Amino acid sequence: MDFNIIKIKALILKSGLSEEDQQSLLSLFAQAKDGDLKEAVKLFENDLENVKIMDDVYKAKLKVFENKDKKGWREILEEERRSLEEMEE
Amino acid sequence: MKMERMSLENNIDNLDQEEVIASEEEVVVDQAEVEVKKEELELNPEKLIAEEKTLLDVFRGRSAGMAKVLTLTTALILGSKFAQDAHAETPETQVTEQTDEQKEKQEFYSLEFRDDVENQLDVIDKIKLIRFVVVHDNETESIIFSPEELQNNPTLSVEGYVANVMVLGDDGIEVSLNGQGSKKIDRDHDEDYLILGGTCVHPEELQTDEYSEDFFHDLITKSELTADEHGSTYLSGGHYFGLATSMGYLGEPVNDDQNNILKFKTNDGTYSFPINQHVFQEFEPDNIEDSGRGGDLVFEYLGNRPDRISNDEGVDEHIQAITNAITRVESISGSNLIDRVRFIDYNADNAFAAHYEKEMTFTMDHLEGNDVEESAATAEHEILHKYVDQKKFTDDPEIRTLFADLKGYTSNKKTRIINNGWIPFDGFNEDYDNKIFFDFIDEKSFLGRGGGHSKDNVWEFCTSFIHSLMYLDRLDDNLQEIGDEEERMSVLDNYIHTTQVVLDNVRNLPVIGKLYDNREEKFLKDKLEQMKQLRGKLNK
Repeated sequence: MDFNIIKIKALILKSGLSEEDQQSLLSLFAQAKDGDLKEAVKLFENDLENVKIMDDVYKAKLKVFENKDKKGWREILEEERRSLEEMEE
Repeated sequence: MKMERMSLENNIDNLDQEEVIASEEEVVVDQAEVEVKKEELELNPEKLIAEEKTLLDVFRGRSAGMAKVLTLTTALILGSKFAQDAHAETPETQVTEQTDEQKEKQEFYSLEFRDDVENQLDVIDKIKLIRFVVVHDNETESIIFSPEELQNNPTLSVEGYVANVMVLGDDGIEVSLNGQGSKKIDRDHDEDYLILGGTCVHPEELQTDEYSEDFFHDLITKSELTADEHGSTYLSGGHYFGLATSMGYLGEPVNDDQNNILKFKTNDGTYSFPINQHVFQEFEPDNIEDSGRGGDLVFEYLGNRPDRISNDEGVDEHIQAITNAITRVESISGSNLIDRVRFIDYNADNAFAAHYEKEMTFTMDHLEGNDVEESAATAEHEILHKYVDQKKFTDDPEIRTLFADLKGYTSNKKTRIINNGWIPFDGFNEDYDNKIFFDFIDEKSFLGRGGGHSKDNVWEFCTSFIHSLMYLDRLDDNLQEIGDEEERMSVLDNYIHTTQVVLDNVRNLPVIGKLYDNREEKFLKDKLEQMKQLRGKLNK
């Protein structure tokens, strides 16, 4: 049985992200407990575009946390909520 | 910050550990600094994860997996383990002590003739509890009424205002608030908590001396679920009113009527509880100069600390700035976009315009945490959203196409923009064309105030763009900030093209949608002329 992180890595490598972005996104997921990555594997297997989305989200969140940007954090939550609502429809 | 690491890392080629550790260090919190600056984001991993989890846990359909991974990314960035128990910190449950005034009112109500009083005990017998989320002293608190308290309290009195009402009752009980039907409560798959729209309610939030953990365990796990026509399930006997309140940026009252009546209907009959709470109070701001708007604005305050708005001279300056902002935007639209400005005493820096009413709301924290120019810029942006909605600019296929083209989107992405006006999660995407142009028109760049995220979707694009047109005299100076001449020209060309497309939209409006004095057309033509003159100057 492959570990989820190995599957994640394979999917990230196929994603079309730059090498630098692949490295940093993989580093992020490598910090998780392997069981917690199950959903991420499903999500990325379902559509590789989701790797790109998650990389965008990662960068946006990192920027907001680095700047301790309260307003930016609210905007991220709002964008996530709105986007998920759209997906549900 | 303690990290949980997997030994799996050893299995991963090319994984640079130093980079991982460096990224941790970048987000390490300087706690002292956070406490000093009020408006900074508090980097409390548990709190932030809980906030996001609360918002996203409600998505169960095809987006459920995405919601989980989004929360996971936050947990990982913040170096916290994925907190399944992220909701550990919950507000303490308590019942407010009644003031003498409330007791008097309560006695008054109890003496009123009630034709439904004979149903009281039968109806209350079907109610397990009523919970209010109340905003008081800038904070939210949970107030629970048990059946025993309902028998002794014909009026549900709170100190503050009610932002959310939850009712748990027997199957089949119907509940309405001022004649409006309730929304349905769901429960999570693992039967751990209840879901009220965007808010999760955990058993520990509801525990009082009268309600044990077992009570809620039974309630959540054994209550029947009913399926609606769309296949969604909900808890029979579970009802709620109001918006999500735990997010910290809503805080709107569940209902702003002067008199609120919570009405129950069962097979045995009906029974109503009046709700006694703080309501919006109209006030006259001091020393406000006539902005030349014509027509009065109504100002209202909601909260239990009216001195916060009446005794602070600084607030008057904000109100003047907001009034002037309304006048400026309405002078372009030629119509009345705002009639009422509201201030709510709530712990969040926020401002928003109502969708269907001519209303705009600011939190008191926004006024106190920002300078006057910021309030003006925020007000203009919010009112311009109403203007853009009113004119339906964002429905125009030409404007949607323009937005997609500016972003450099083709095929599928372009089609989605044209069909829907936006693409989910596109606000996070940094891979698009004309980044300099989108950044340029954002308020934070063009005005040096407020935010702006024009790249996110066509609504934000139109709003920030028209906002920048209001201050076009800054265009030349702002363009000079762009070092590269080719980029400067490109931004100006995009300005000219966008203005032309919006102008065409206004020209093509049916006669009924046009203003008698064609002021919007004149406004846009005037701006277009200024841009073209500047273009000619730059060409030389």
